[in-house]
Parts: sequence; structure tokens; C-alpha cells
Amino acid sequence: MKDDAEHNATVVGELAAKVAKPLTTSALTPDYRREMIRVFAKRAVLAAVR
Amino acid sequence: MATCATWRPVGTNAGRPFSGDTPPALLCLSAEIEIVGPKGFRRVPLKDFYTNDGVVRMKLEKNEMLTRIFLPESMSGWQGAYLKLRIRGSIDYPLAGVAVAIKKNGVVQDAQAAITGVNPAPHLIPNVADALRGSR
Repeated sequence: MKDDAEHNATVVGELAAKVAKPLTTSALTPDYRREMIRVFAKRAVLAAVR
Repeated sequence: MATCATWRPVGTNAGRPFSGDTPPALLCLSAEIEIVGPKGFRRVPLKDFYTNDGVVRMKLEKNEMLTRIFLPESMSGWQGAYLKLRIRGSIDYPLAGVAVAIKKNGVVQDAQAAITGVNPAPHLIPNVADALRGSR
């Protein structure tokens, strides 16, 4: 079941990264911030589920 | 989260990302807001309040103000998490943030997620419930 939760959280991370359109007028690069959206979405799902 | 930052030149208002912490969590909880103005009260879903425009961010007239936030009773018992990227460890705006809310009774029955700090408005992520339903 842990693998199942990990997989589903990864899917949400990918969904979130697709929606993220980081603008350039902010600190850090858009690519980095989009990647952090993907990572944080996965972590947030796992934190919320557990 | 600690990180090294390189500031890029700040452009016009049209290009500024939305930088609020609370709205993504409220979006996950299907919040509605009450707005008061000369014409009286109106109540709108929070998801319809933002324009995704960096200049005119909200559907709020100059002579209106937000007075109340409503959370549906059906969201009682949902659990959630919010994570954000920021430069300073203390109070700071999000450079990227994600809120997740889940209804769970042994397994996930329903879920929502929203992002902030990247686009001109906070956004709900589509299809999150389908991805998580049944997870333990």
C-alpha cells in the first residue's frame, strides 16, 4: 500500500506541474519553481494522507 | 526551505505571480466569499474570484470589500497539508506552494489540491480526486 500511495502522490505531482506556469518576474527560475511544485505536491499528498 | 536565491529583474504588474498562502487551502475546501458593496451583498465561490490576470487580479470593484469566508459543512473532517518554497525561513511570500485537502475514512474518498506562487492566480489542480481515491 505504501507503493500505491507513493505512486498516486507522484501522479498528483505531475498534474500540479502541468498546471504551474511560473512567471519569470520572481526569484528563482521558472523551471526550478515548477519542479518544486511537482515535489511539494507529492510531499503534501503524502503528509495529508498520513 | 532554505535555498540560494538569484533575483531576476522585476517586470510589470502583468507578470507578477500570485503570492498568497491562504487561498490555495481555501480553494481545496471549496470556500465561498461574501462581498459587500453599494449594491448589497454577493456570495461567490472563491475559485471564481481570481482572474489569472496580473493587473486586475480579483473580481472586486473599488467600492467593494470582502467581509466573510464560508466553508461548506460538508468539508468538516477533511485533513490537509500545505508546503511552500520561500527564501527566508521566517515569514515570507511563497515562490511556489501547494495545498492538499483529503477526505479519508480508511481510504481516500475525495481530495483536492491547489497551487500558489507561480501563476498570476491560485489554481485548483484538476483530476486530483481521481488520482487519490482509494489510497491508504
